[in-house]
Amino acid sequence: MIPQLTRSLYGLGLRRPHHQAFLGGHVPLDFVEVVSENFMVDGGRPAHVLARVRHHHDVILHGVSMSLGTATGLDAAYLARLRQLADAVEPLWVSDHLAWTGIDGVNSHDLLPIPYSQEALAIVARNIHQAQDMLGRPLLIENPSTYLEFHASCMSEAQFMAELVARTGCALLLDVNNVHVSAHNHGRDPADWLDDIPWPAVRQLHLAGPSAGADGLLIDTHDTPVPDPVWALYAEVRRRAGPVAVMIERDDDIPPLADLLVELDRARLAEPMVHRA
Amino acid sequence: MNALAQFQRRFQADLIAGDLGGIAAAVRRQAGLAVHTHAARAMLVEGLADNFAKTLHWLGGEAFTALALDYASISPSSSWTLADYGAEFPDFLRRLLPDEAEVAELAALDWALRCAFGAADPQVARWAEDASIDWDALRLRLAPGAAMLALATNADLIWAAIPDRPIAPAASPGWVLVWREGAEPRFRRLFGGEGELLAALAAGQRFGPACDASGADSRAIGGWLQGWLSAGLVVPRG
Repeated sequence: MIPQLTRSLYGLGLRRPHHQAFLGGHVPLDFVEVVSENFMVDGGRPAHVLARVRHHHDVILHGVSMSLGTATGLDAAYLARLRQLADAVEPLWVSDHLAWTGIDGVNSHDLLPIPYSQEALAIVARNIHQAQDMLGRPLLIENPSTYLEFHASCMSEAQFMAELVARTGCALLLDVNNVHVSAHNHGRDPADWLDDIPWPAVRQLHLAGPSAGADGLLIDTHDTPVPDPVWALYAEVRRRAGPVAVMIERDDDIPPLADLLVELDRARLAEPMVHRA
Repeated sequence: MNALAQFQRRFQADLIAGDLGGIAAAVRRQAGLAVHTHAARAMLVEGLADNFAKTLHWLGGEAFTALALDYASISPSSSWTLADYGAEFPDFLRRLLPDEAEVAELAALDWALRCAFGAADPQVARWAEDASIDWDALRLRLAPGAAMLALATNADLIWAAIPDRPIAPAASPGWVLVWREGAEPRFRRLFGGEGELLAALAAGQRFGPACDASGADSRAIGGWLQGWLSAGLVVPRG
């Protein structure tokens, strides 16, 4: 398990419109999270940008294509390439989602849901073990936004994640917006979800904003500021979690860096006094 | 085969077909099915739009999206990154738009530049300083990220003119070289036999016979070779 943080950390995702500012090295952040797959390349500007960012900041590698829920196992070539990147970057940690993106060599590039069944639990735990072995480091697993619930599920998502922690020693990345989105979409109380989470395993939080979709669903778009219901849920999460790494995720309609830093300050201010250094 | 693998294969096949109705009985609320059919296609179209930005501009958003959706429905992604998605898109456009050859050639140029973007950093060719090289028998290949495109049209001029200057497509056969200079992908049309010679070498012909067949004089070939080596464009095979 990744050791507990001694103080909370605050960071942002590395997005193209802000590259120049990050290359200058004067952005007041504890860490920068990058999408791993964007930097699993042989050379060129991506490699140069990441090297410069790493010179100034701690980095977290956040993946979207590990496909931990794929029933036939993980892509060994993917893991080998990610290991190469992780060894070069020496990130705070590596994370990916509780989801599958494809099977038999296909990648949908969508985070597809899995049933929370005993069969799926055994498969995902096996996959996490495989990933941790090949990467030589423990993983953080993120709860996704979900739009489907399966009849085959026999436990809640949070119970499923708690089982994964117990079976594999992985840690958790809680996406507070995803908790909000999934609870809304399935007509559930997000507080129930929080009750089942093993808080000592939580190392990181994501904050983001969703959009309204068809049929009353919320969609995880990352194209709006963090909304009030997510801030309220975040305050409750901070009461339950210890020191964690917190970041604002913004992937579309990206505002100036200064606006994101203001949002991040709001996240800082919600940190309980007992955790502040 | 485990039950989850069987279910995921069904889910994926339906997702690529654009209709998840086949798994409706497995879920509690069916409204979410459309979210995934939309998201999976939108991701692929967005990936193509990013990788073929000038082609998108030339075709216009509506026409490009229609072609991209058709491509996505028959050519799923097999890479961990969307940056690798669309290798066959230029050929797909060539088949679908046979009377608009500049479209597929614009796409081929977009794709070659995209490949150059993340390729291994080019190295100055120190290997060529080895005095024992048998140049006559030497076989070369293009370095990673470099590519030779055989064009039938002025797609290279159209590419450079987008979005500022309208330019009409016209026949303009020749070779275009794509490579990376520092962090920047570049391209240039090759003239005076340089394209034919470099294409022959990239195809694996021995250096001496290829030079003889090119008909170019040795001074011109020496100048071209110096340029290729200093840009790290060619490396020995094997």
